Amino acid sequence: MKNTIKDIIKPYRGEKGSLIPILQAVQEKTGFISEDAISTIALNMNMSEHEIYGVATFYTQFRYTKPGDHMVKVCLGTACHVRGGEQLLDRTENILNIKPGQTTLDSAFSLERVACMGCCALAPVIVVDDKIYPNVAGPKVEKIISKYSSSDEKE
Amino acid sequence: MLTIDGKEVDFKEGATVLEVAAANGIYIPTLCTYSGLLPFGACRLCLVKIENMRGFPPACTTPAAKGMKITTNDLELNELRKNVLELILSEHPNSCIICDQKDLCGNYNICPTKSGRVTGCAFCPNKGRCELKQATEYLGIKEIRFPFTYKNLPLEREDPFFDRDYNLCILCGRCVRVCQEIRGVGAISLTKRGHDTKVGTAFNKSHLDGGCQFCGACVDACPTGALSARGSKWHGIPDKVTTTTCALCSVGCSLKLETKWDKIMAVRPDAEGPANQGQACVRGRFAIPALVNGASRLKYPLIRRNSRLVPATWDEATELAAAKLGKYIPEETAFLASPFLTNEAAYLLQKFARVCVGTNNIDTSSFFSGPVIQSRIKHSNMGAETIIDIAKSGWIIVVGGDIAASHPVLTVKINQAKKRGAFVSLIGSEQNINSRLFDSCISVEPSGYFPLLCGILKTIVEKEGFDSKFVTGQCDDFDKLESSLKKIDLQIIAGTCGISQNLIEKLTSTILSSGRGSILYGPKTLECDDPKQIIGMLFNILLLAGSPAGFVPLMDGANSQGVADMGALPDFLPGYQNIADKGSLSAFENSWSAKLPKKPGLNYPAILNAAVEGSIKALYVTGGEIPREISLERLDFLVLHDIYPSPLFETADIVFPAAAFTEEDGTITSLEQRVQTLQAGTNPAGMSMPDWKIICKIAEKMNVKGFEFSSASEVFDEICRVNPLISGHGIRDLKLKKKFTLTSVEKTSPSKRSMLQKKPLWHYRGVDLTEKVFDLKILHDKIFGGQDVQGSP
Repeated sequence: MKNTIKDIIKPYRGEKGSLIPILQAVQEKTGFISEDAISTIALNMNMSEHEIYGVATFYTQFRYTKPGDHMVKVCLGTACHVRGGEQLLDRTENILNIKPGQTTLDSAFSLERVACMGCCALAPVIVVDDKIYPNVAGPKVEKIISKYSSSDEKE
Repeated sequence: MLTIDGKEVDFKEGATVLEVAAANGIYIPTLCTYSGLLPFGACRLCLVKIENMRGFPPACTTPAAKGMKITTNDLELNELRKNVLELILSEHPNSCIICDQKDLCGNYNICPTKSGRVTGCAFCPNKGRCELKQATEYLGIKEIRFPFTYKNLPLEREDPFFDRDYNLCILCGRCVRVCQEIRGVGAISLTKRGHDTKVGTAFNKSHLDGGCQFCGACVDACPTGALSARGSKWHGIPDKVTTTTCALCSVGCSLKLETKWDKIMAVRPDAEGPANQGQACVRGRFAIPALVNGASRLKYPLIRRNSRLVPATWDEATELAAAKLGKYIPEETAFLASPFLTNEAAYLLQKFARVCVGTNNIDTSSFFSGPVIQSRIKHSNMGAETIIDIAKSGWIIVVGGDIAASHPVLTVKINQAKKRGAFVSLIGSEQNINSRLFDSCISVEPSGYFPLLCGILKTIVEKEGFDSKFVTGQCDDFDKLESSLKKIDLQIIAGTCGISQNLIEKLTSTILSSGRGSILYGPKTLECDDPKQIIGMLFNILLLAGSPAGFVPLMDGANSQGVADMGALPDFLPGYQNIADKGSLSAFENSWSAKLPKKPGLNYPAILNAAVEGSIKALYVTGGEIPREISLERLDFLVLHDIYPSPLFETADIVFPAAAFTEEDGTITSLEQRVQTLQAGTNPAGMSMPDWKIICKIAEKMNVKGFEFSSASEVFDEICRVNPLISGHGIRDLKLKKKFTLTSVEKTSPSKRSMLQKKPLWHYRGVDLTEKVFDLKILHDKIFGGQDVQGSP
């Protein structure tokens, strides 16, 4: 992985202000910004890892844990919010036993909260990978999640 | 010319509005400005009005311009500032700042009471240094109109030396910036954003894991009580503050000792210090109280009775010492001067040895004694080494020393040079604790220094890119150097030191294209076969680059320079007056009114050898000079000056308790040859005494005249009279030379000191600091992975 990161940094070498594009490229390649990634960037850019972490955490676009096999997004946009998006998020958190931005221990699922998926008529919605599940009220979410975990087991 | 509050003033190009105001005695409240840091514009308290400028620009980030009309203080501005400060205070526990009873409890609220943290009463460890309070008082805020939010962050105490309570943090960023901009470390950073912003480390690592060097600069920069030195957190306001010089290394940082109940409770760097300019390192900032207040400090003299060391009075002990020392023939007696002695003590010790005992067997155990001193005499003066010069260099080479561990404050200057674009390289096999400091590292063992330097010099001379004007005008013996280099084959060189020709070429072309430079050479250079030659070759590089300044020895003892200057050397009298020279000998005989021994004495390794063999019968040791593996069984009589019990107690016949440097007046001479004063912050521990006083007392018992001093300054007066190096004002007389001699390169026979002593990296008079300061041990183990690291060979 160190070499991947070095390859990413190479064209930028020495350029001040190239930190964010580098971080973006690293996230795209590896899915997240790891401790190793930051120390490799630090070493190659002659910056301190804390400085880089400070820059990265200023933006919400970066994640610091390895994403799971499935990305679960719970919408908390206005429409979903009024139709019980908050409760849906609580429920999902309980099922997966993680908070938004985290990944389950078996790295099967990552959870994220999003602002709007553009399908407010279907509120509240939950999105797993690229599939949108409409009107997810009550225990429906358990079924959806279990579908993904069981299909994994079969594979 | 610009107008500020109706006053027409001049200003320097590039100054900010805030600086112009301050220079003209106009106060503008600010919390995020800190001397030495770039403007940041975080706190928004310094908002001003400038005619024809939109809104309220912050004074700290607005450059002053011609014709500006600035208002710094009116009702509208103050209302605005009040709002800003109230918002800051709504997230900072504030009852101690705005409580209407605060004047009544002012005397007590600094005390170590442990009342609720949330109320803000009496838990802040800022010891009355609160810039928030100053600003609040200036703006006259009586109440806060916003609801108060307590962040309820856990207190961070897992790291050594200092605590962090980020509930008190106002996010001015001074700690982050001082760490990054001044120290060049960047161990902390502002993480996250908005309400969640917090000073922290990557992935919440501990500071220890994150590469913090615990210099304490962040603690000093903090305007609130968020960062506090743990050891002295609850001691309250000091009774007394004394400015002195740090005697833990040779940089010569000026420190402020804060004393309470006659104990050193805290130490802060002095912003006016010529060498450190407000900076310190982990030892100076945090280790001193634990070192000097240790419970096992020696408090009374000890003498050997029935094979045991028992307490004695000063009279008993000094009388015994006088009687015994008078018994031996002079050649059987030897004196060792610790490189941590003051100039006064070193001067009196050599005077005592020469006048009272009549021997020249005196030397210092500093690594930087023989070779460095000799080459310095040879080159007359090797440029005025100044720390400021390092910051002005275009290139810097550190040779054979872990500078970030041994002389951390110098890295501040290296960092300054780096910011101006200097190229910094390391030659040596040292681990370095701050790898970001160096642009290139040439890893080579001391045995490879000679071929490497030959290669560098040859490349420089052959390329003819050197400063020929300076070399022809001010340097002698260039031809000799050139012809001596002719014999050297670059390819063989690359083979012997394992450094590729390419790397050598790269380094030399950087040197030649970056103007004047600095070379800092550490104790490993003395491990080479011929240290004098290596030092001469390093100086050659500087001369060829066109400037003799910036040649800095990383001396191991705090006063290695001064102890040698004072004549604690076997072959030189004070001021490097050669003993073989009849004129200088008789001059000293006159001023001391005594007959002096003519035969040069033994040097440090020879003294140790003689003590082992038994030809030295009486030895006088002033702190930590005897390596553990040396057996002193055949010694007849051993006198010690010590501040803590040491392994030598097994053989010592008399032990005198010495005062630590925080407990005595005097002077020490730093590596840049600046004579700096020590001032006692407290009384000496127990019955201990400054070294110079102990020597005077023994001389008095021996009935020898010339030791009747009542204070260190009287001793210094005599030094000024007899030592031509120190002028009447007590300033080291630096005769800047116009002519320099280039050293020719030739393979010579080894002349290194055979018995270099292994010492702990951080020590004071033989006391391993990590043994006395627990947190320092944690840091040391972290940096060096628990290995026993020697400061030198």
